[in-house]
Amino acid sequence: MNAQFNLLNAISEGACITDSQGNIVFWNQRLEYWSGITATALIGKNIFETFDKFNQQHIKMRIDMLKENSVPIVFSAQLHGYFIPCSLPDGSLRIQRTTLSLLDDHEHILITIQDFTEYIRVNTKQKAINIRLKDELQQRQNLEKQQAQLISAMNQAAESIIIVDQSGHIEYINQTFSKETGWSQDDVLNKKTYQSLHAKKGDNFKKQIKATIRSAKAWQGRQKIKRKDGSLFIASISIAPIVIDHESQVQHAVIIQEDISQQLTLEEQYRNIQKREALSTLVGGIAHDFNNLLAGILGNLYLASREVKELPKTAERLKKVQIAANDAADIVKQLMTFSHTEKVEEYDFPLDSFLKEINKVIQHTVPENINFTLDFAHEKYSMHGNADQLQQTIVNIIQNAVDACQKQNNPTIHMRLNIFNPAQHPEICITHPKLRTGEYAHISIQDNGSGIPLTHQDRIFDPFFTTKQMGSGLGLATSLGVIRHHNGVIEVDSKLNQGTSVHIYLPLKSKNIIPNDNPKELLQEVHILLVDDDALVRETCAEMLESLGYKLTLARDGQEAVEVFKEHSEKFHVIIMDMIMPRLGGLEAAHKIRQITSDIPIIFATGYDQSISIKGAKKFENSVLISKPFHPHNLQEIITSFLHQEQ
Amino acid sequence: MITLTIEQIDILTEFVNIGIGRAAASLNSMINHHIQLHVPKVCLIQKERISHHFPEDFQDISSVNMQFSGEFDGNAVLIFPKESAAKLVSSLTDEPEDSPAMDELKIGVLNEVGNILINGVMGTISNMLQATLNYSVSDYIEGDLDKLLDIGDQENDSILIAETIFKIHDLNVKGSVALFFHVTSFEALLQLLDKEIAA
Repeated sequence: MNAQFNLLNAISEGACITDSQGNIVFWNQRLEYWSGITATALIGKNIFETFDKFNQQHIKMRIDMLKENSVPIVFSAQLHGYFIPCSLPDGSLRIQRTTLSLLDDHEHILITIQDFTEYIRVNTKQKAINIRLKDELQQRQNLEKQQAQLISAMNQAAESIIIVDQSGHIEYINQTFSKETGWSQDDVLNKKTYQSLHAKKGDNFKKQIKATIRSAKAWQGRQKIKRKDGSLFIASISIAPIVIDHESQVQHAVIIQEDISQQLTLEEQYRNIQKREALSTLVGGIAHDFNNLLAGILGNLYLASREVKELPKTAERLKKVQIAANDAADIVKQLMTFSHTEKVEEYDFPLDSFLKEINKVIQHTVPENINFTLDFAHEKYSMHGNADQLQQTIVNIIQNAVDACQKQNNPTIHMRLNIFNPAQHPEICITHPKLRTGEYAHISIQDNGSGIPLTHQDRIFDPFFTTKQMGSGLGLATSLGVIRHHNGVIEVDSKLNQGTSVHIYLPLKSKNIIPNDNPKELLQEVHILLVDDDALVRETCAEMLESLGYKLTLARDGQEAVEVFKEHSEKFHVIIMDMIMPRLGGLEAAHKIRQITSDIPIIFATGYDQSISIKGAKKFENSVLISKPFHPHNLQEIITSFLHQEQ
Repeated sequence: MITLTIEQIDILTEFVNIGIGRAAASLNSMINHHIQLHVPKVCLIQKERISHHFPEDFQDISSVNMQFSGEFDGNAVLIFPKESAAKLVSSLTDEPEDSPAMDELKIGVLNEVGNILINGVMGTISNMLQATLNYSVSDYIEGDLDKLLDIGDQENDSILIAETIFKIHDLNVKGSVALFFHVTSFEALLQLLDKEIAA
């Protein structure tokens, strides 16, 4: 029987043949080799009794089905492992795929066994490798993702980030560094050292990087850094060693660099503001006291000079004292302007006529050898404030420009007015955030003069600081006070021997807020009652107002004023009233006039300290108090503002 | 074109159900999980209509094929969508489903499942009809559905399809037992069926 199956000895698979009862009739050489059991030892034995795994109920059931319907049976390696134990040298058992087929005689069953051990070993190993590779791939992808996030974060950081090796060679720069310095990656990577960007040669910054890496300790400080275009900026720098693990030596350092130039400028500006505030408070206090004293002196001088008309020499001396006291009062006035303690009238005025007026004054201020140009937009804007003070401020600045450039070849002063556009000047808005909102007039006065030395630039707005022999040192201090009082900004940009530009930013009121009146037509309708007991003052003032186009009626004292007003009350638009007069004083006369017309505007004029007269004048609504002598433009502005209020 | 009478469909459905029932019992005793097998319907299609019959997820398939010959010839094929085959194998072996690709070991398991099912179905049919059949050992075929057109000799073969649903735990795997018959063989089968009906 065996002989007919001998062919199965030639195959690489294990093969066994049983009869329908399971008795082994053939056991091929491969199985002998795998199982270590010879065919002689097995033939005749029952496979179910010899090999337990065949003896399981469900296996026997399937084998019964095979016998019943002859459909071959497959037992997979993974679900069953093995049926015939075949040991390997390492003691493990061969994993087998077992197939049972009914032979054509329907009397014998062929059991074939495929060894899957090696396949499973390789497969298992492959699976382990695959799992490891998958893990490694996942880790690498995670790392790449983290790296991409890190690089993105570093590039979006507001600070420059630089990584250097232990010798200071740059290994990495972020985008902020390139933006801040102009150096690209190609410029710096492995080519130049970070130290070479450090502006000041010969100091120990290079050593500092090496020391940081060597000591593995962080360092912080400030350094000047050179941009690609050669310009410099101050940077706050921190250097930290990159510690990969605690055992390895530090080979790299990370440098965080932040441009703090703007911060330093703001700090400096803040310090200056603080200093000026303190100075302003101090000056204001002193000026106020001096003003009161001077008011007393001037008042008494005025009275004394009336009493000594018979003593010409004494009168002459008193006049000199009065002149000196008036000069002192002027200085005190300027100090009060600087410290914002001076009470000034404020009103709306049109910007273009304001500048035209300045232009007229400047024609007399600027010598002919200086090329003066004025350039301004003819737009109907208006401002609120004191036009006199602003005019004086601009004239002061132009006078400074004249002084600075008149010895230059081709001296030039250029004054320009335009409407400030914050979007075009973000750098100014950073320093002065209030310029971001609202509309501002930008007045710039530029000269090609000698410029201001850097060491003086911080002090030019300090009171009594001057480089001129005859200067009071109050011009720019007063200008600063006036501009600040008007909620404006003043900036000076100067380079030695190249010239100076003064920029003034003043808040504007809405466009066309002042009706486009014809001033002359308006003036012709205005009738003023001028009351003053001093004939010289009365006549001079009348002449001046008439020259401005006003109609005038004169009165010598309060009594006469009341009588005139009673007769023609309807024709007067404004009254200019002296305070101290014989027969009937200004306040008493004003009371009586207001009983006739309750809202007639009254301009109280006084030669005394205003503070003395203020109490009485304050009781009157729709009135102002001004000092003699009058400035024509000032008076005109006040009259105009009263007329606009009436409208 | 061959069609089935209601009686023929009834009796074939019953044979398939008996066979699948035996297969389920065999599978349940072999592995630790309880497997339920259902055959909701049996139908007959022409071979060239095979790609129209199966839904889209059957376009990429894993299948176990056993050839039979004797009183009628043909092929018995257990067909799964490829991903479902991998799920079924991992459920049976309690191994995590690492990849839908079928390696030799997974193919071995699927072969055995196919073998049990086909054994059940074909064994029942041949027993009930007292037909003597010989079988090849099962082999594994994967690829697109058109690969099944290579099975058999003639284009106008008929295919008896028994849709089969495997339920293991929460897993529902849909497969199909397809019996490919040559025309003459199918006529022989029908004659045997009619004889059985008549008996």
